[in-house]
Amino acid sequence: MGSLSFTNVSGSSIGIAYLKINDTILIEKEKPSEYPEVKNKIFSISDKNSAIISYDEKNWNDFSRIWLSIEVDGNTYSVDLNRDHYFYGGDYRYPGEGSAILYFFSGFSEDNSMVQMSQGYAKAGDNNMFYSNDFKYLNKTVAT
Amino acid sequence: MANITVFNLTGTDLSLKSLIINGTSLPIENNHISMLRSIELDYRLTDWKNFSGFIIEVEKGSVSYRANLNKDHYFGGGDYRYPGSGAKVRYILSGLSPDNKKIQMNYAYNSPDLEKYKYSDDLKYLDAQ
Repeated sequence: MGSLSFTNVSGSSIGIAYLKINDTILIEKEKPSEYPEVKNKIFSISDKNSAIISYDEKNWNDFSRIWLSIEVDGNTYSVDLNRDHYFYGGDYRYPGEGSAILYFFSGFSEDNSMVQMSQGYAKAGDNNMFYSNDFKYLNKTVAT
Repeated sequence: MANITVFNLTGTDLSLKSLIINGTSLPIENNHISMLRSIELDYRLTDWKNFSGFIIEVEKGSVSYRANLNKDHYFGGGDYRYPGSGAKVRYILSGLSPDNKKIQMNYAYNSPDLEKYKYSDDLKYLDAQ
């Protein structure tokens, strides 16, 4: 079982508007997800809370790309990471079957144009999470 | 309202054994922090700008981990980045090193009058004792 946890430590409520991993759209705000485990209730994560979903479509080591968009106070922030630009770390650091990933939103830039995201990871079923020692940033996108 | 939050994202439960700011050990009512949970503490004896040093010690799996950061080695950032009156800060214990000898700590802060936290783009480490 692969799992993904999104933990919000940013101070503001965060809505997950879009999440695609490899070839699978797991969360899409605009239409009901085809992914059966995704429920509307996870779209919003209040401060200090987490949402956990499963993703098993591919093995962790077959990871190629992740797209994520979140909404905060009516603004949308997005990031698109391919394998080469993904978080550093060791085995099991990619989302997929066999890994447990924890993404956390760790705050805003001074001008609120970016949200920082960090990662912890583990072999699925193991207890301890390892840290990645780099940051990724979601950039505010122009409202459409 | 508490102005210090400590988060546990390390995968398993841990205990916050000690948190010392500017030489003052903060009282901790219940030091147990489950995975994905946090506890809140309060410190306003000095203004955030008069910060001098910070010590945190946690216990996880019967191992103690400790970090000791003076002002020069503290997290980088802008205004309100130090614990104290006029600031709110968050310490995020974000995982272990592969050899279990370190716990990584992320950080966020802001004015208590604002909802959002600002991120620090620094990371600090608690070392196994």
